[in-house]
Amino acid sequence: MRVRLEPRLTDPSLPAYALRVALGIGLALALSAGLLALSDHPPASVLDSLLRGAFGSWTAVQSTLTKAVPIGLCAVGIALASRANLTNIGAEGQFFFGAFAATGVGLSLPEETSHPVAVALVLGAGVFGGAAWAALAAIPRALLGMSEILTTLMLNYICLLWINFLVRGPWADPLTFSFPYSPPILDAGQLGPVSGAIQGGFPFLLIAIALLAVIDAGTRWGYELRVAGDAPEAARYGGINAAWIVISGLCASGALAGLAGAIEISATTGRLQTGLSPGYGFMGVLVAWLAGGRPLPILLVSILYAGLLNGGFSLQIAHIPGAISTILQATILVCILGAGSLARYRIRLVRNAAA
Amino acid sequence: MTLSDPTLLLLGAALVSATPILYAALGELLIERAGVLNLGIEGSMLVGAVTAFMVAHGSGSSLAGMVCAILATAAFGGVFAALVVGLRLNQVVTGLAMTILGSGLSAFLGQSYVGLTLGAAGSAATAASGLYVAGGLACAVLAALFLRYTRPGLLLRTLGENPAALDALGLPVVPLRCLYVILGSGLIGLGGAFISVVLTPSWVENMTAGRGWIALALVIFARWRALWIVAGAVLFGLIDAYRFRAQVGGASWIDPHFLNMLPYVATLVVLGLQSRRSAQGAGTPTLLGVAYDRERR
Repeated sequence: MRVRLEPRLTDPSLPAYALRVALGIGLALALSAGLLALSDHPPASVLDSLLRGAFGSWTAVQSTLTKAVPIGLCAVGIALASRANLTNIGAEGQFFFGAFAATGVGLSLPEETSHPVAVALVLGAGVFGGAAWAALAAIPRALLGMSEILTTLMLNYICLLWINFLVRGPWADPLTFSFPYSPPILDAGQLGPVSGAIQGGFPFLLIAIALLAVIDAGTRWGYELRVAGDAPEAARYGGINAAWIVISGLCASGALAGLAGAIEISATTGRLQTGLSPGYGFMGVLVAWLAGGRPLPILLVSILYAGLLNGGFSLQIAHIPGAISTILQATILVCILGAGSLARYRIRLVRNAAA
Repeated sequence: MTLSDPTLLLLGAALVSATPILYAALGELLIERAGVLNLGIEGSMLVGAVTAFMVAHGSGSSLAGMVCAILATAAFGGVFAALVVGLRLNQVVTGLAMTILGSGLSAFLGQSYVGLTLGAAGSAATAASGLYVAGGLACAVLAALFLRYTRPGLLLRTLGENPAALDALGLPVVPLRCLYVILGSGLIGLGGAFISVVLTPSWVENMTAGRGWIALALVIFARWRALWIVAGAVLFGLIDAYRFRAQVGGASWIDPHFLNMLPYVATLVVLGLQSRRSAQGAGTPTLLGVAYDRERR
């Protein structure tokens, strides 16, 4: 008897697919519940505090939406690059380089700069910074064929060390003593909340999601990205400039991550710090994949993911290890991806299979 | 020629801090040569580190800790293999998920061990650190000989270059790939175990502190060759030892953050130089990261 994985001849119907995803989530919850039960934490009460921390009150929802902004923006960028079959796992570095550029502008603008101008310059610097950091991977990929998976990954750590150097060295705020913080950016550069409640970055996430849908549905560039990704030979024959697609795709992806970094600076912390991101760029990769790269699912999944992250923090306050939420993130992801794979393939037991 | 004592001490410290990265990079080498890109390396190291510490703390034997760490990470690697080789999930995304899972699992399992020390077992392990260092070097030589001169080594290289050829020979591609992912993960776990049992005898959340990513960079830096991994690991160890000494001494000619960037920058430079050569002989397993699907060969 042998086990074989064979592709299905037909695409699964939507209900069949949804059923498998639900089974995947169920399996992930069951695995986590088992782990909790083994360690003497009642699973039901843990799940309850997790959900309360994520969506249980208006403050919790606000905080979840705030965290969904960087995750979602990074995910939209990653999904955009994946249209051209480019794997950008450098969103974390692009996020931080965008935050660095935004802080640089925010620290050097004169205090009397008007509010809209200052915000536009700070966020614009973030967009530019993220794109520039992505260009460091995009140009070698376009000209030399260097794998963007490996370069974007390496650039993450270089950028993190750069930020560490800045906030402990030249940009260290003398008033925060040993905390690795930069001085705050100018007040006029701070993005206030929308109608006093929702973080100012949230509309940017909605715009980015809408933009992704528009790029997919109705632009020449979106079409060229997909052709270059799915059929590079056909793209070349059709006169699509491959180098331009690689550079524009990856830089746009980095620009969105950089915008996320600038928004964190402008709307949340007001200053550069090493703990600016608990790994938003990597979460973006996972969210983009879970959502299958589609715009609306990205919005929903990034909100759910942010909820899981927030719920994890509230677990720690309730003296339940927050690591549970981390484990849950990973198992849900793996189970859903596995369910997706089983939707595309079927497992067959083959008797006396010939090699 | 006589070496002055400080130089010898620096070299010794360099070898010790190179060892966890050496083991991890050798494990990653086996996995990548088999055609699988394993981004779960940091998570595997953490699983190894926490298992080794828990077992060594409970049993009082650091050797038992090491063995259990290898077994636990091999099992962890088995899950990864089942997902990416068996179910053909995306290797990048699944690898990142395994890193998250490993960091969560190790934090969860190790929470009651934070702040404890190994006592006698720890000092015994530290005294035997030379053995583990020598073991790492021996592993590298063995891996180099295995890859270059043996038939299974040739098959391993083919696994990452042209799995369809192995399939045509009637060799089982999927089980072989799984085998190397599991073996390599065990080595990666040993690297993590070295950190928590020998290097710092203690357990702290996320104590591998990015060494897994450095190991990943080293494999590329070494262009997928075992002996170059040794050179890279020792170079990194020297940087690490120098940085530590500079921190203690208070003066350094360059900010340590820039020293820490070196492994990544060097890897990018090597990637750039390599991409200018022909693919043949460059060392990159050509089908790295591509799941084997018989029906699409």
